[in-house]
Amino acid sequence: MDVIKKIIEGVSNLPTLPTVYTNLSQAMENPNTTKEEIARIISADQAASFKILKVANSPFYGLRGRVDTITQALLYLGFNEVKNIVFALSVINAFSKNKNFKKFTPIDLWAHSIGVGVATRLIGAAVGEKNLENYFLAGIFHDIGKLVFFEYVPNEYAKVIDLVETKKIPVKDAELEILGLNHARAGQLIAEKWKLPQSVVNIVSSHHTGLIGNNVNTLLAAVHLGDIIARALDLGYGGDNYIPEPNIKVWDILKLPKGFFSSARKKMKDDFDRLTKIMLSD
Amino acid sequence: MSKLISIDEIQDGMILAEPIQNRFGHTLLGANIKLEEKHVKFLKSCGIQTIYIVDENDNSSNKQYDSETLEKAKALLNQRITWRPKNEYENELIEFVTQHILEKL
Repeated sequence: MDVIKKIIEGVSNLPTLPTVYTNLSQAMENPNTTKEEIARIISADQAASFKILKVANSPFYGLRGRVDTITQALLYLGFNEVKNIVFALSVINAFSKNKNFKKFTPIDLWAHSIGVGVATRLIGAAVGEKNLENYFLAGIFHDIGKLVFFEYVPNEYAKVIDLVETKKIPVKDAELEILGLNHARAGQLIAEKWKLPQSVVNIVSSHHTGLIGNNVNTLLAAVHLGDIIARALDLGYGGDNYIPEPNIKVWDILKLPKGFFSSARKKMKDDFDRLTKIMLSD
Repeated sequence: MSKLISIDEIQDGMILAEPIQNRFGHTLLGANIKLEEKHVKFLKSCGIQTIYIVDENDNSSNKQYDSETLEKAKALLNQRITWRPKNEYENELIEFVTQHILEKL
């Protein structure tokens, strides 16, 4: 069967996301929903609540004082950021973690994605972006297309991984050669199917270029650079070892403070270590 | 050498490495200030999340490596980066990767 057809069929039969996420989304669409109701929905899933509190308490979010309840997490992090964390945890659980190829596993990929999320949010904070909601989530989801390949065309994807090695080319080029589409396109299909916000769909489809047309999009530029940083620091593994050339335009969009890279290195590694432990443990 | 930390990690006596500005470009705190609890409260009220502090423990960039290690790092770097830096940011990025590779060797 044609790869694209397999993926489109696969995506339309996608495993449903856990009840906690669907209930939460529905509740949040209703403007009359109270914070207490949201807290009750999340608290009904004990495993998810436990992880949310751990994430909220990690220095990554830089909150002062302890977050002991979901109500506090909603208050300090905001509804959307908590929903984002629930969503990220739900998706990590929805895909199987046992489709392992010789040198590339879903765990490597999730770790890479968490690394990109950490770097992206730190870039956003360093350039003075006020609304950092979605920065971490965008990093987590940027490579969702690779998960689609793992899940629906594992045999063909094994060939992609081999080609990266034998031909010494980046995984996105090997995907195009073997499958006829790369993970940015496959990811776009699933992101649209899941009705992710357009900002996240754009990240998935355009993180390699960091730009859509001539529009200034700080979040997209931050993910583009966050991907390069995560690769540079070996935070997880995205399928090849290359550190791509940044799109020259992102420097003008972001205007990073001088010395950002060396000064943020330790925090990126520390936040990455903590968050992968919390988010990828069962 | 400065280090980016979240304001949650501020400890009394840490030195601010770079001035903190709000979104209108007004300076809230100048560089080289010794941070105390009152500063943390103030920054929190201004919605500041991260700051640069002077990192006294960091001497990684001063560490000396022998020429063999440096050569090895350069070879690894060239396998992973096949482009040339075009501006100061990209020089910093390459320096950042080099430090990481040297630490792993």
